[in-house]
Amino acid sequence: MSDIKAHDRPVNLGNPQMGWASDVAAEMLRQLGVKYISLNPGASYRGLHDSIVNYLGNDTPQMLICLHEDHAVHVAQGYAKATGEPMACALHSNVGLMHGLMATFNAWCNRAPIIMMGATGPIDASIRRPWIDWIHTSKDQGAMLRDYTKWDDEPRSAGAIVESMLRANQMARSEPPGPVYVCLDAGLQESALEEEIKIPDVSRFQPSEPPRASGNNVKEVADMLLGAANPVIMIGRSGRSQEAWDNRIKLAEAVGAGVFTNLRNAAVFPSDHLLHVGRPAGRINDTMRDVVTESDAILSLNWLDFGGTQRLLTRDGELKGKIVHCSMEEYVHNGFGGELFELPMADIKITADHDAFVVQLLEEIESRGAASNWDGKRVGPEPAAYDKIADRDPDSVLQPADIVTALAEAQGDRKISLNRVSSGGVGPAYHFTAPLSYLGHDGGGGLASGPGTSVGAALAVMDTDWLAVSVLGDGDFMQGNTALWTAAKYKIPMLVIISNNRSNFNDELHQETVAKDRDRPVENRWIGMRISEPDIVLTDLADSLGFEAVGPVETAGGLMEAIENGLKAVEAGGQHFINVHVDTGYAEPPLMRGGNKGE
Amino acid sequence: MPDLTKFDRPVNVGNPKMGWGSDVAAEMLRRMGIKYLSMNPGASYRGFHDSIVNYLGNDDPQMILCLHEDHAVHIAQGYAKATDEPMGCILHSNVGLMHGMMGIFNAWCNRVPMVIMGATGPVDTMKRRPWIDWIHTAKDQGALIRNFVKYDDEPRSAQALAETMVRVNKTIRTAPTGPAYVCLDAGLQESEIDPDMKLPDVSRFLPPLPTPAPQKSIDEAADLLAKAKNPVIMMGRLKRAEKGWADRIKLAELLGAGVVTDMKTGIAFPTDHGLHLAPPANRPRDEAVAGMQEADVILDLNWVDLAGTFKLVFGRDDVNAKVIHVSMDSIIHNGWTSDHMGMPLGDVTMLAEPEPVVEQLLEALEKRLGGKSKWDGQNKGRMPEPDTTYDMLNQDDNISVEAVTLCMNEVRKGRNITLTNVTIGWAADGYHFTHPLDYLGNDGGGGLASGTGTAIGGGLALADTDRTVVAVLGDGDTMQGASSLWTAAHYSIPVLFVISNNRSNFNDEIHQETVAITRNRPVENRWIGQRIDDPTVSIEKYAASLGVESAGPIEKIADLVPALEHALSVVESGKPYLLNVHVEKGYAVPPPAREA
Repeated sequence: MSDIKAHDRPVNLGNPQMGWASDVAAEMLRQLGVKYISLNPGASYRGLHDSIVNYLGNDTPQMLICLHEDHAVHVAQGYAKATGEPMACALHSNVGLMHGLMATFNAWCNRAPIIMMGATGPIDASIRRPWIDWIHTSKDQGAMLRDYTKWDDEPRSAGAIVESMLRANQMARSEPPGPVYVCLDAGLQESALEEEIKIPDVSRFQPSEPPRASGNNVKEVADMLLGAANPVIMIGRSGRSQEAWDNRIKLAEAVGAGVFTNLRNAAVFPSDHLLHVGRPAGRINDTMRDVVTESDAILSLNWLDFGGTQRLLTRDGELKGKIVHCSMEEYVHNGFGGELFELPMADIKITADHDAFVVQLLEEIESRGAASNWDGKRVGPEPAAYDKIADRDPDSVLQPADIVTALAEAQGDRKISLNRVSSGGVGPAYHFTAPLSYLGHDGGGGLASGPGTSVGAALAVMDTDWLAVSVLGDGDFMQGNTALWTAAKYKIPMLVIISNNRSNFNDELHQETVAKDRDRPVENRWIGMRISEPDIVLTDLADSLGFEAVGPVETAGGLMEAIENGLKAVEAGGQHFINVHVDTGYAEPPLMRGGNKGE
Repeated sequence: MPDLTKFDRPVNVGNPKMGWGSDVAAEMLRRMGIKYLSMNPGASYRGFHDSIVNYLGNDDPQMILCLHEDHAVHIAQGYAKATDEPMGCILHSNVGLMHGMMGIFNAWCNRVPMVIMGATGPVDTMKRRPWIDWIHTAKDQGALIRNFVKYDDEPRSAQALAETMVRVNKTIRTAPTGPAYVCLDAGLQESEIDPDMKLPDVSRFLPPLPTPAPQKSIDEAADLLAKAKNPVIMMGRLKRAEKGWADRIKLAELLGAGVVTDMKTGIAFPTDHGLHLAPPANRPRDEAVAGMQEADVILDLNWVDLAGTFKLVFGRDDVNAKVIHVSMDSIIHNGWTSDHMGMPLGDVTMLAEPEPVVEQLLEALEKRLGGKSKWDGQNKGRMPEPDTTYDMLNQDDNISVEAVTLCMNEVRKGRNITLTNVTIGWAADGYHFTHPLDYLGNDGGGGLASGTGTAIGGGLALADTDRTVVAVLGDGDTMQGASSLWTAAHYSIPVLFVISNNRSNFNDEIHQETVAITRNRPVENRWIGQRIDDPTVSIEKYAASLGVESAGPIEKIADLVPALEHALSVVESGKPYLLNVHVEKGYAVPPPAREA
């Protein structure tokens, strides 16, 4: 196991006393249990930086230096995806904040808790340096991200920092969780404390248990599920709790419900369970359409974009079943973002924590002493046989989904934590067997997220028996590639595999759609899209940032070998990179907006 | 010289008719004279993308493909810095816009004209695909950047779009110039237009001629200047035109005025001129300070932070000189950004553009002085010869930031080099600027990741000239925007990237030292959370992986000049090149650090 604390050790600290306002902010991060703070440095928070190094001794939280604020925020998101816990990141003044905004939007859409520490140049104009302190001071910086964070503040005294941080912590962790932003005035950070600042017991400011469903709703839904011939449960965004995972299995088995999961979210149910219908997918497919439209009871447990899913499911028919939608999402919806999606239809709408609702349902069902409705048979089609990569002609070319399939074939007893997969999906063989098996997508569909969130997720599992693996598209990877350096610096074990189609391929499909609509030449769809001439030598790039890099892998035989070696490298604590050239194409093409012809 | 039009050629475009909302946007950009659109693709503007490729044939404007929106915006800034002309960039929906925001802030602070084309998912919810079109549609996206663009709009019809574009054209080109943002609804882009729609004649909606000052103000200023014993002219953000450059020399020589220039802005006056007081710097050098302290009249030509410079020069003392403040900048100041800086003094204040004001002053002063120069021809500031020269360097030494400057000076002979940017450590003593294109100034907003992108934009703008484009960049800045190098490789944009690599965010180490000293804490920890080391990034390998020929790390002075010579020969053959130079940590002239 690597020891992250071995890095960046300060010396000669002596016995530092809390003497400056920024020390209070640092102390609060420690009291709140924040382990890491990812950052790209900047003079606006030099006071806080000093407090972390020379007051806290660069420990709890420890700084993780990144090469771009986009990475710093995504690292924190990745950590939250794997743990459900907030880590912190620091963003320099207005400019660093702007660099981090898209990642903040991703974290917001993903409901990932992050404590974002920001800073501004001195708000007191009289203590500003010429020029630089002026351009790096703007008013109410929180306004830039207020529409896509849960809360923000810019405290005006050391005491107010304590209050602010307590609230930031509670807000970030309360369901639905999300990022919060605390902006520290440079002048305040660097002012000496005039009196002792008393830090209260932070355990007395913890978030509440999330809201529960009413007893009536519980009875009603239990009646519905127990009385249904073909119930289905659609499980959406949920936490990483093993207990909640087990409870979902119990509920599905108790009522014999077919279960659907979605690749946009982390693993929530064993994909190899007989009640898991089909493969975890990124979009609606015929299997889902067949099973859900025939169902007489549909329970959504925080299904993401339930309204959009309903629209796609009902294109050629109706949903006959009674619909229950349990979600607290609307507590954080606002007028700015579209991440509230289409308004879902629900016969019973329950605004409560869906994991707690499962517990309530189980208690209700158990209290009735009813036997399980489940006949022990599979719901949905039998898994299709597939052509094992190990058995293929070793020289055959690769499809995007083959990468995850090869991982599954090489996995053996290993516990793989797959941070995310490229647009190729998860293929036919890889299974979600525990909450950390798969961590889902980036939330906001903002590229550059892959490398950063992968580093954060790897950081989160580095002291466990899970192996951190990511499969990233080349367009996404190239937007955030320098994030790899942070993993190399702190020796965070991880395997990064690039599903490389040498293009922003998704967008090529869009151009084709538009060209067809307009009777214009489809053959130009690659222009302004394709990342070639020159082809990027991704292995050299990863190597230049301190990763051990292999590739390009172009054949089935090469892939199995490369993945086996890659997994071994990560088991040995390495930072390993594989560039895989895949055919341009998707296992399941994403939905195209239909141009003027409509959906 | 590279021929950009050979890249990314569409086929079979036939004779396309303007038929779709997005064709109008594309057509208007052509009529506005926009040559390039830097972009990273995204489905929110697929209609517009099609219009550029299949309606315009990817020409006038041509798309410049980037790997990140941060690069796209910075390339457009670099182009404007070199030409004072706008180019365009395209940002995908809310997420691409968020990626590009810091670049927009830099462009705003640098007052560069720019057309930012944006897009949103269909505003009509009925047209949205589930999930993705919802997360990529946000209300009033312009609100995200309204505080740091000159104008923004989200037109609701093709006709309204045409109107928006002529307004954008006029607004961004009117002083103070700056960026504007047009958000195109995906639904509007992809809807058919009225075949009888008429487009406005752009030539009838042009910006005004540069704004002169009222004659009364000119007379007042001319009276002060004509009588001044020790006038000083502070030359700030000015245009690249040779006419203005020549006029400023004429004015300084007529008055015998000492001249101060600034590293923040493109060079405004020949630094080897006898009236140029001191090498340009971020903090005024001793000779410049002395010149200003002794001045009886100071003419400020759009200096970026007059109050701040006065604070450094005069401290708490009064500014006894009469100050003539010439700037249009206050027209676009607002309550959000502080890029207005401290409140500038002005005994005579002219809300006018410096170029016409200099012409007006020349006319008024020639009358008052009877055409006779007040300058005795004596050198007023530094001698034109640098204090330290390349010959004084020990060839076996490690490379200091000062040595980088001197070696650059050594290899420039016989070349017209444009420095698009330099590091904070640049030693201006050792390298003269003698033409407005010799140095283009910094990034405006102090937001990192700007270096490589703005250099590429500069290279794009000057590719067809006799200029050899060079950027001297820090490693922290370079690594924030490094993958933009691919764009230089793809389009064969000739730029030399010299990385002055101290393996640290070194400026911030100095800040940590200041704080530690104030707090009586160990200075020796200043490197923590700052160093880009262990592993050292092989920047040369990184560049090569993106298709940019490279070399390094260069560690010794003896190796630097030959490496630069080779690098310049590659760039002069029409290709980009990166040279990774490991330098010692330190600055030639440290920037002002905030007192703790």
